[in-house]
Amino acid sequence: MLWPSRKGRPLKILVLGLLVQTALLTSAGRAELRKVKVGDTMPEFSLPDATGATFTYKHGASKVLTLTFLPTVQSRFERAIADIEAVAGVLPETAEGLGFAGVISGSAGKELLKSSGSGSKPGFRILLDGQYHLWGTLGVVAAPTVVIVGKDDRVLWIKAGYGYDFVPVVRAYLNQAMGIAQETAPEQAQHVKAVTNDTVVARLQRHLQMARILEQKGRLESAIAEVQKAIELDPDSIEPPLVLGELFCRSGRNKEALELTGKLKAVRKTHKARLLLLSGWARRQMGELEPAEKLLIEATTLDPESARALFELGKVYQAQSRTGKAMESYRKALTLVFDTSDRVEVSNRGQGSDPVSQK
Amino acid sequence: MAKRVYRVVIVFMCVLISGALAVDKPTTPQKTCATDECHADYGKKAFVHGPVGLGDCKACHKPLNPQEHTYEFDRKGRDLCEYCHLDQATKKNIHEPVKTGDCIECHDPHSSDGKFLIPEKTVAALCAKCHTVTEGFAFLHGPTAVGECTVCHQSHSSDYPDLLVSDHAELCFSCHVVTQRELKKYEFIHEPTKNDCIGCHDPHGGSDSKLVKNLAPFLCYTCHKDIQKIAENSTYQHSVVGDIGGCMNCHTPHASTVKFLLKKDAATLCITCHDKPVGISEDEVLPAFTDEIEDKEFKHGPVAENDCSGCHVTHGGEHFRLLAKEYPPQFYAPFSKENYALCFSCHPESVVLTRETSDLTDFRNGNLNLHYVHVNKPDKGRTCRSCHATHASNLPKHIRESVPYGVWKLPIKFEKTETGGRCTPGCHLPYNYDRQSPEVYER
Repeated sequence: MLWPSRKGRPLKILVLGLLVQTALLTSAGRAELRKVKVGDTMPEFSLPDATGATFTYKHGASKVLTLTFLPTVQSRFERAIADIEAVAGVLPETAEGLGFAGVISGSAGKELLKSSGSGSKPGFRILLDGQYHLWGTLGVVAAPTVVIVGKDDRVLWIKAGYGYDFVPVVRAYLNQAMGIAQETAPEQAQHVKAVTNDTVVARLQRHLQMARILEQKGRLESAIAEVQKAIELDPDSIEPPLVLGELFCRSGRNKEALELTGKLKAVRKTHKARLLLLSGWARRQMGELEPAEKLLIEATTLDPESARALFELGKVYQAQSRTGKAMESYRKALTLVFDTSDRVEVSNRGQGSDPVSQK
Repeated sequence: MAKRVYRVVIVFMCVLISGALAVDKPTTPQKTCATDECHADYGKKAFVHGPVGLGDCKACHKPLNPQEHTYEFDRKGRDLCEYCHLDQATKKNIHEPVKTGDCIECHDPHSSDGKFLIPEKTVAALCAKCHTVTEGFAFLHGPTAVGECTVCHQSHSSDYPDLLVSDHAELCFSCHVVTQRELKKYEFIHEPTKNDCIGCHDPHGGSDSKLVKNLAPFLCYTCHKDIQKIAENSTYQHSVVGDIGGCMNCHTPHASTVKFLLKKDAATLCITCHDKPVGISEDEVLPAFTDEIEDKEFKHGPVAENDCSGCHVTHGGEHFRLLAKEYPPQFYAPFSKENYALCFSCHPESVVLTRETSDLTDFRNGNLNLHYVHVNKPDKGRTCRSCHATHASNLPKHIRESVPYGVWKLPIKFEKTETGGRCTPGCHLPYNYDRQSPEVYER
């Protein structure tokens, strides 16, 4: 779920508008009760709640109404209440323009509330429709049935039945009615997604993570072996070879590092900077200070926030006995490492989170 | 005789030569012990213990009797090593050799070709001296496979069980970052996924590639005993549940966007099998569900909502066709609420119990509730299936075109009007009903 931020707001509003329109087009004429269908004006009504207070729905209030006709079979009633509370549970901040009510039709209402311990709660009132009047006015045939009415008093969505997708679908349409931006169109909410951890990206990331842990432990050869497995999984991804180049440099395998960087082609600026850094780092370690300096200056120009490139440049200057320049470079590197609230962010900068997307 | 003398002379000469070549043990305290003549190999390996490198043998050894060249340790037990290595045993759980002061079980106190002075070529080889964790596994966990035990375990002490480097879940997610990232997007997460991966997975290896401790359904039954009971003891069993890997036909083990951790929407899961006739016993074949709903205009609510579990239980049950509750299978049945428990799960029982209504149903003549008239009879009440197709039909309210009545397909011929309808069934004379202008029926 995304609230529209100021930045990019027009785009998000447009997307939201399109989603609303799409949902209306696809749902209109499909979902209907005996007497009311999507797009109709919701009839006005009044019903008492469990405490005897009256809940009145009147047109023109500019409020979203979510009305749930609750089942009267105890177990299903409790399940429905739990699910509706799960939907309502994430709404407090946004529920200002929302009327949220459950309706128990028939004579069982009071008994049911008493035995289940449920009652009207702030934000979610349970109404009693003892004589099935509202049930009949709308033409409900089964419980639970959820009716969501927009701020314009028109029925936006109706769902009869109580399926596995009750929570995500009700929430999606409620978000839509409330104008809360969301990542997918409401009708997509019933499409089930499940976590899969055996994708190439997931497996590749596992090897890279393990390589990082091994690197921290100083087990560079084992780390290199892990990265090579990551490369085998997706030879087109640029992140694993860049990590491998760094490990080659760290373990003094400079020729291999240069060979590797010679084969890689980077598109993104940060990747180009990392390639230059690796070449400069390897050449510095091979004693080729002039080309190393040139490469590292280029790297720091492309990515001025690469602490490693600045550190390597400092080492080049130190080896050239250019102490002042070396100190300046080291200082910049140290500033980048320590003068930031999030060191992790710095160390990961340019590495990205999704290696495949960096192809 | 001469031969024997010759042998004695040879042995005597050898003793003399070896005595001349041997270095005498020093009988006074020396500055260091690791010299070219004595204990020479101590300082020549890739990794040398600090005091040995400095030649400061007294850091650990103190002379007992210099003349006899006997020494004892400067401190006893754990204190010997902990005198310098203070922080190795400070955590809650301590590795057994550390606890007992047997540091030399894992470390050579003088020097080694292995990092951290371990006497084996790899950490894994060292650990394997005591811990056999890979036996019988066809698949190994990544760190185990490459012998990197210390990716997950501390060598000396840890605040976490099994000397883990961090909390279980945190540890697993340190490599399984994509899973961790994905989980944040899901509302329905399998409880062990949150903090107990090793509830289901063996962290060292397994007989299948997912490294699960056992295959479904047996693994799942270790917690879901209620489901096991249903699956194994129900009168009507769902055959796929008990298959090896059965649970995974419908459920995903980590997280899903919907309840019950379904891996697809319910209808898609069901028609994986029920898109074709399924033999449920030697002489009974269940027709393909997809044939029953194909091209049908009016679907029963749960069918329209892709929710087969609205009426059917999935693991096993006590009612035919794996229905969730009682539902009369025949044309006639005496009315009782219990008999219709399935339908009354969603539809209020008042629909059948109330004789007069203006709201409950559209199937009424004026206010006379025709559901009441048809169903609520002590002997030959018409069951729901007499008029309604349970999955779908081409008539409004998914009314059947015909209903099996013995060998006869009894027609219903239902026609809907704006304010009522008309039936011309095999059961009775043609009758109209009208909510606004009620028909007068002759008795």
